[in-house]
Amino acid sequence: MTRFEKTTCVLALAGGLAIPLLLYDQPYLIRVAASVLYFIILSSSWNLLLGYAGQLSFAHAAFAAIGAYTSGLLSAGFLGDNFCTSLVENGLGVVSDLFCGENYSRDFSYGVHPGISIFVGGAVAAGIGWCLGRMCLRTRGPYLALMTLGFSETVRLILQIEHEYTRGSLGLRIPYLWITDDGLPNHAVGYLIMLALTVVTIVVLYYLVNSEKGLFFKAIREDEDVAAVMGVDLVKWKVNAFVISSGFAGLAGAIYAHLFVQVLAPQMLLLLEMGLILAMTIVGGLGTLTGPIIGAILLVVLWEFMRDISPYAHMLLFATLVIIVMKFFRAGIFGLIARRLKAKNLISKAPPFTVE
Amino acid sequence: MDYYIFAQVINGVIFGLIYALIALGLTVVFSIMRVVNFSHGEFYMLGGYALYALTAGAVTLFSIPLVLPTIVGLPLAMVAVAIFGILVERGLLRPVYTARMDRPEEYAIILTFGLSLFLQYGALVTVGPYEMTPGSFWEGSKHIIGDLYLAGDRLFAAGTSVFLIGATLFFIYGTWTGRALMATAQNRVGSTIVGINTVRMNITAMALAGLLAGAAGALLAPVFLVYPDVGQIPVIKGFVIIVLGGMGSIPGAVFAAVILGLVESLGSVYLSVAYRDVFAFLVLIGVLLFRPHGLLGQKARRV
Repeated sequence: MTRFEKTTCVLALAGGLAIPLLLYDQPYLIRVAASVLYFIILSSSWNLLLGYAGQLSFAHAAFAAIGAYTSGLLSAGFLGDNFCTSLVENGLGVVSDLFCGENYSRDFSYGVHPGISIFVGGAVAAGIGWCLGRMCLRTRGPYLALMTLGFSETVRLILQIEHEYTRGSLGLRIPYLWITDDGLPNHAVGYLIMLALTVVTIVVLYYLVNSEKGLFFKAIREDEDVAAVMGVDLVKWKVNAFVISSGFAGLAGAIYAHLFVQVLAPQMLLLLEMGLILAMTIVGGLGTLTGPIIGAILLVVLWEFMRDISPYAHMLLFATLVIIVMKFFRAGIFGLIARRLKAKNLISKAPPFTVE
Repeated sequence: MDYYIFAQVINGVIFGLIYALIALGLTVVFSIMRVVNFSHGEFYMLGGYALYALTAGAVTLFSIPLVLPTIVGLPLAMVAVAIFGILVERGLLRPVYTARMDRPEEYAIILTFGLSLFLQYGALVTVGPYEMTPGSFWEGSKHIIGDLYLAGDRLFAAGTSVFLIGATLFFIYGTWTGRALMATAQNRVGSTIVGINTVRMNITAMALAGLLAGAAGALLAPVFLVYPDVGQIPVIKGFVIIVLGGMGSIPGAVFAAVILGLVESLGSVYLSVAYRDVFAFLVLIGVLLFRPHGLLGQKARRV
């Protein structure tokens, strides 16, 4: 890391920490800032799949939803009072305190505490990511895209159809992760929790892609067959890419749901959500760690400015941006900046994309 | 076999024929260009909107409202979508072949996915989320046999589909252009050597896809109405069909389309109505796992 890169990281972190202080009396803007963080985590982890390992998956929004729904169902009392009373009857009061909560709130008295269920959500998403990764081993290119698209739509339809459990399109009400004494959520604290998760994601991804493993991913992206000949364990590293990225997506989905969303609906799996993640990564810069961060910040800010025009105008703009970026500068916004910065020796590595 | 099951079989075949129109365009584009067109569903949507614009009198040309008969609107809508397809090939997809490019497959998928969102949200912003009803092709419901009645529009759609599928098969297997298309699909370099203009073959494939998707969109517009995301479910069915039939196989696509139509309508009788749309995805995932080259496709060969 050069001094310039270190300074930028420290400044960005300081800026992130300053936001709840500066906007303390404007909860709406804190929510917007938190949604930026949510999209940074999602697009960064999707970028690990596409930008580093070269696996184009349309199921990323589905993993966020799997995490959110797993955690939501557990904490909203999906286990049911029978399960919890049977625990107490069998002398497992300690377990029932842990999983069933001691009247965490009146509506959700038999749910797991969200502080535990979010990690279950992340783990379930990672586990399903493992299965999908195994299933997709033999599929490449367009087949992989079709398979993940089919998976994502299947999850959405199941969540919609099984409304006895998930409440379908009506929405599943889930408890807050953090409430103050007056029973309301504290958005500043929620934002800081999201910030912590974002920092963890970025740091993990940084060490991952700058290690030997990162080279494995890049080798798979460039040419699977050559990578396999050179001794890269394709099975292991493709599946690992799926597990890591879907684990982060699931965790982010679960935490964001418990902090800011409160009502889960299958709409979070629409292709629109996948389009947002894709647009942020592509516009910011595919295959770089900084790109998705820039993309997420820029696109959410644009979105906020366009709310007044039309509820759909932002997506039209984002789709146009995706087409323009793909057609004329595939390295994205960060790719354009990075070339100049690299020329002045301010950053240590140029982005990997060779453009035409 | 009682009438209810019989009606479901008829329904399944009708849906299968219409799915085949959508899937044929996808499979032709894939076999020639090796590109899965993720914006194909929006071609379908454009067909519906084109029919609406030409026949419903909502659009005025030189202050005369356009109220063409639907039967005239159908070929015009098909041509309009075909022209749009040619523009997409020329403007966006041509670099996949002519330029030296990093990972062209990824470029094509992301670009067509972006185009799909662009068209969908473009329609939402300009026309709005309202459902539009173009005029009917064949009004009323028709008596088939016993207690079985079917909507005239569905019958018309199925009949026209049969005609268009036949015409497409004749075009591909019976004309020199069709043979050139097949040659390009088999070996691009080889067909360039024997004097086939492969860029023109790309244009032909996209135009054919546009014609067929536009026809499907226009034919189903009176049945399912027209709205911005009308193409989403049909195009995913189209993906399932081309995978099931074997990517790039034309008879496979027709065959698989009818199978999918039957699986859906019989599955909703015997298994669950709510899961009707899920069957398609289960078929997709199953085929990709156990028979990736599909029913009639060729196993992948490396040259």
